Amino acid sequence: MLEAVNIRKSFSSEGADVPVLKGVSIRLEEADYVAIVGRSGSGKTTLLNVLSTLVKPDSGALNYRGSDLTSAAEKQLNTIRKSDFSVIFQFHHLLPYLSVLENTLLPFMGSLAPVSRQLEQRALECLDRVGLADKVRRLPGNLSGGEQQRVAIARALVKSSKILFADEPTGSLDKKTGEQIMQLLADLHGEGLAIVMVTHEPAYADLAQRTIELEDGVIAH
Amino acid sequence: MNIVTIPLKNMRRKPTKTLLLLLVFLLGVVSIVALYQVSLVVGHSLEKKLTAFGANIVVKPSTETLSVSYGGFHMGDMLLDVKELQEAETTTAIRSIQLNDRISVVAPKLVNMFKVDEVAIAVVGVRWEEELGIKSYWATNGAFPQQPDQILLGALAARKLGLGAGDTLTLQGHHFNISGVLFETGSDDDSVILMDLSKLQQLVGQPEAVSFVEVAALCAGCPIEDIVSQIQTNLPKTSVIALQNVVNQRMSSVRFVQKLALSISLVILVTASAMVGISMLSAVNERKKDIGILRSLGYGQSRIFLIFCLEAGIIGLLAGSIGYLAGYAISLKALEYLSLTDVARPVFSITQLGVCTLIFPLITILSALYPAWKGSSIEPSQALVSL
Repeated sequence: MLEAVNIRKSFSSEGADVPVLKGVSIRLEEADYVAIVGRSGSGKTTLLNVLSTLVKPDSGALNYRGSDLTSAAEKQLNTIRKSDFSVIFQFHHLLPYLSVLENTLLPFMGSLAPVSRQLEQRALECLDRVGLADKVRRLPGNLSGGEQQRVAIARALVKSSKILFADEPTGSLDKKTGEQIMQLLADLHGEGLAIVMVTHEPAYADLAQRTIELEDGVIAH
Repeated sequence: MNIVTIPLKNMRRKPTKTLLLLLVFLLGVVSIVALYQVSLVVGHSLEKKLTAFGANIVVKPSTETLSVSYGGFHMGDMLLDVKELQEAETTTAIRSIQLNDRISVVAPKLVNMFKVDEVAIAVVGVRWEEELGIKSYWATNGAFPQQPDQILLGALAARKLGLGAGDTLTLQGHHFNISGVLFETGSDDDSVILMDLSKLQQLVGQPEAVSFVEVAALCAGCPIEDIVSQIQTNLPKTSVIALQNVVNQRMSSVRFVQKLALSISLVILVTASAMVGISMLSAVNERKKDIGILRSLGYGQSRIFLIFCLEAGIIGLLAGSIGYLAGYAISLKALEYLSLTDVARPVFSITQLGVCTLIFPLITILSALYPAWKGSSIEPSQALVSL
């Protein structure tokens, strides 16, 4: 479904190019569950951002269902980000001034046409699914870290995403809440959602079907 | 819920900042509207006062001039086909033009030559109320005539005839009391005798006849040519002439007031727009995280651009509508303070309100174009650094 071939990416630091990814190749199948692990600075988050099209690689190819996303137009990338891909971050993944329901429906609020009743109903169902049915009108600031992460997951559910990219989804949560989130991800994977997760936690990485270890910008194994 | 929800809710998140920004632009709009309204009334008032210094349009019968010379001798110009104007018909026609609200004074006149003690002198019949309306600079050593049998002498005419206030003068067998002598004006008025128009018409046996009509028109907001053209249409057999030097002189005073108001308004507008632009620019830097989240959800550059423009547009919309109402109210108070409300009052116009609610959002959007473009140009990867 999604294939990255020989991805290279450098960032500028103090006038010099610092290579972060040095020819990474990875293939993701339908309903796959891949954990990306590695030490800090090994390039995990950068790889996740390249796979989710948020960062453009310097070279290499990124193919999604037959299309090369590295040469795709901005419009096509936006369409894929809006419908097929979902990203959840460790921190700050919700707009603080929108309610839980509005954050869930955010991908559909990009035009002057109001969000349909059906979509709103679907968002309420997804929030019910992640255990937030009674907090739909609240602002993110009034939610716990785990609840905020659930809103981001509910957003991915409303979109009927094909792939969920999760960057340290439990990084800012306590152990119990982290386990609840991991259980939720496992349930969604069981329903056919492909997941690519960056994590530091070996226990959570073990829940994935496959684990990719990055070391200094290359796949160690 | 739609894209407007995003800027609206963001503005509610920081009410103090939003209110301050709104206040800055609102002050700009209020000042502009108030200045505009006050300058209109002050201009109108100024022009009304200036009409007291003479007419700016003259309506006279159409004539054909024939220059006569024979055998090398020039015998002067002859006026052919001279027909006096009819007073009621002419003044009614002037007062009934489309721009009749711009007509301030209509002063008909009949001019005739008489001999007084073997001295040839011009006698001008006037309507005193109208005449004094356009010649408030007149001053006399006696009084202005109140009765039909009273007359006013020009300074040179009085000297020529050796008469003064309180004396009696006989014209065509009718006795007239001299109510006063005009102080020298430096104009043709110094050499004539002025009397009631009806009385003169009766003396010459030409009831309703007038030689010409002087018109004082208010020209602010419409060109004098339009007024002249409309009078000409109503009175096709006359010659209507605009005294351009009078018009230009008068309008330059009015235009000065209006240009001053416009210049101040522009400075205020530019300052307020700059404030909006700077505020939006800082908002872009503060909201990189928001941009990152939105870009990760498939919001394209145009959508991000639209969100910032909408935010600026909402400020402009609120400032435009509230500012017009507040500016109108302040102009009323300012004119009361300047004691000008008896001359004219600012006009509340739904059209102007509509224009304000359309123009000011456009101005704030224009001010926010660069910040919005900058915000929309942020790549998801750059924005993600903030996450």
